[in-house]
Amino acid sequence: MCGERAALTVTGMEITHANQADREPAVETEGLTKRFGERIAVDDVSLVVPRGVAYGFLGHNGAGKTTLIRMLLGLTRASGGRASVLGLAVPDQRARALARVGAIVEEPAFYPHLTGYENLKIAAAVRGPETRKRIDGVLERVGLDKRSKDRVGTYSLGMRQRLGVARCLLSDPELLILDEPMNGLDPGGMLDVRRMIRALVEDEGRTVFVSSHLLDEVEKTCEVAAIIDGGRVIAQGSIEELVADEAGELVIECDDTDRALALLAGDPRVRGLRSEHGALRMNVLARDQAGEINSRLVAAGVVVTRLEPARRSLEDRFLEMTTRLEVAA
Amino acid sequence: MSVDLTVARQMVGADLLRLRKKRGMIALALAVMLVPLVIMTGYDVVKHASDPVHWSPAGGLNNYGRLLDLLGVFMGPVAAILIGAEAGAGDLAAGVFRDNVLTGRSRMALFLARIPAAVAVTLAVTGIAFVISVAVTFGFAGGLATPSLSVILQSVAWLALANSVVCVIALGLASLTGSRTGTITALIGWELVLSPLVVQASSLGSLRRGLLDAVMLFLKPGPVTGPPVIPMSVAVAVAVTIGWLLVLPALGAWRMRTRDA
Repeated sequence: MCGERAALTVTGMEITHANQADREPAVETEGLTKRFGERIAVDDVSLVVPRGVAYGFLGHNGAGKTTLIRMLLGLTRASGGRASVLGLAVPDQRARALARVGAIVEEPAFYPHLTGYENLKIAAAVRGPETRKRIDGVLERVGLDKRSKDRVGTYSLGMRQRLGVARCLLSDPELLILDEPMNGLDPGGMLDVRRMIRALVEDEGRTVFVSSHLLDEVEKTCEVAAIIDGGRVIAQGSIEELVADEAGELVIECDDTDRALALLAGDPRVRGLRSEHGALRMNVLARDQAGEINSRLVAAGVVVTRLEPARRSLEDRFLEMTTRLEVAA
Repeated sequence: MSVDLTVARQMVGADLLRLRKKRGMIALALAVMLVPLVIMTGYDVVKHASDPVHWSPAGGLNNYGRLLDLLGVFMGPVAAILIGAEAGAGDLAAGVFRDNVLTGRSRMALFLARIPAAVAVTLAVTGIAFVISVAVTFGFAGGLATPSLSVILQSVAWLALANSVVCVIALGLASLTGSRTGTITALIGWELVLSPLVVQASSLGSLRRGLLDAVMLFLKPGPVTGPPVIPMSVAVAVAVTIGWLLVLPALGAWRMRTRDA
């Protein structure tokens, strides 16, 4: 959808700029900093959000997520550093950038006395003359076409979130910035939003930047993420990279845990051997040593029922990283 | 350019939509004009019916003048304040201001679109009350003189000016303060209590020419029926009106441009 529009706008002198901008990351920041008096809300943040992905921006409440989003959208000025959105510097080229961006900052707000359709009509009027034609389509896209004539005051939070996404889609944006889109939603609502985000990325080729403190949801929804804590980005990369077990931890389940524990206790390849919840957990120096350990157990008559690298959730990694920072502080 | 005009027209239409769908506010704006009008007229009708020798009919030119005072100096401006305050701070109250800013549209354009929409709603509400006033004037005139067509047309222009100016001032103050309630309280207090007192404070002399109420009473067509008219030149009246029209809306526009979204 947004690809079609991009192709149509490539005319004349705009070609160079449009193509050049299209090659840029969806969002790029370098040393972005925001101070409120003595307090540093965002500290020297450098991010690269590639195009065509769902990008999770993870952090505790108050970590600086919304402040960074507000700077990206030109709602507040940065104290230092630079930022670009779709290859356009903000705030200098804010208007041009925002014309191609849909955003929800904190909770989506609407006029409660108007219907969903009327609220979108008002939003479309501000966006431009072509936008009004898209209202029916975006309402259908977010599954609100049957409730579009109801007053927004009667909508659930999940419906308002979806209407917020519909408002974002009015301008056929290349980039959506959604600040805590799953806040306050029930599991069904979260699933709806997750599916919608995946469809926006996979079916329509858009980039979706999702800030959240719901680690599990980001892990399920996004391919790439950054973790922010105390205003600083402490890790960024693909979800796989972020949850990868650097220490090479193995989990082994067998028919005789005590015997296996005794067998491996003196093994020089094994460190941090322990029994947890009926399984053995250990760190090995190299992943290929897992097979050797398995052979040793089998040779000793221990029946191994499960052997796999320990997979930590994003939540584990997040807590580990942020706790580490707290300890260091 | 034509795209900009189309967008401007759509934005005004959007503001008009959100205002006219605010049914509670529209009903209240109508009520503040119509309820006193009905009470005044009803009282006069009853008095005249009970003692026609001592009490004149409820219609006619003189009563028309009193109704104009009601619609253009007292309760009409109150209705205009309600509408202007909603137009100026309604998006902030609903939290939609940030979303409008996020479109990348200039904040000045967002501000300017509010003005014609708010004025249109004010004029519509004033128009309804005025039509009823004219009907009362002629319907209950009995043998009294009635206003000429010329006076009626002048009255239309005067009411439109008086209430539009107040509406724009309220819009500017609401945009400046970001508060509907604060704006409504302050301006109604000024319009119904302070300003009428100051207009009558002869010790202030020509300073009173700076009051919008003084200007509107000076410009009012038809018979003098209410507060005293302070003499001034048309140029002064125009200058004072423009001054009021510029200062608060300019402050409101400035605040809208600088407000943290």
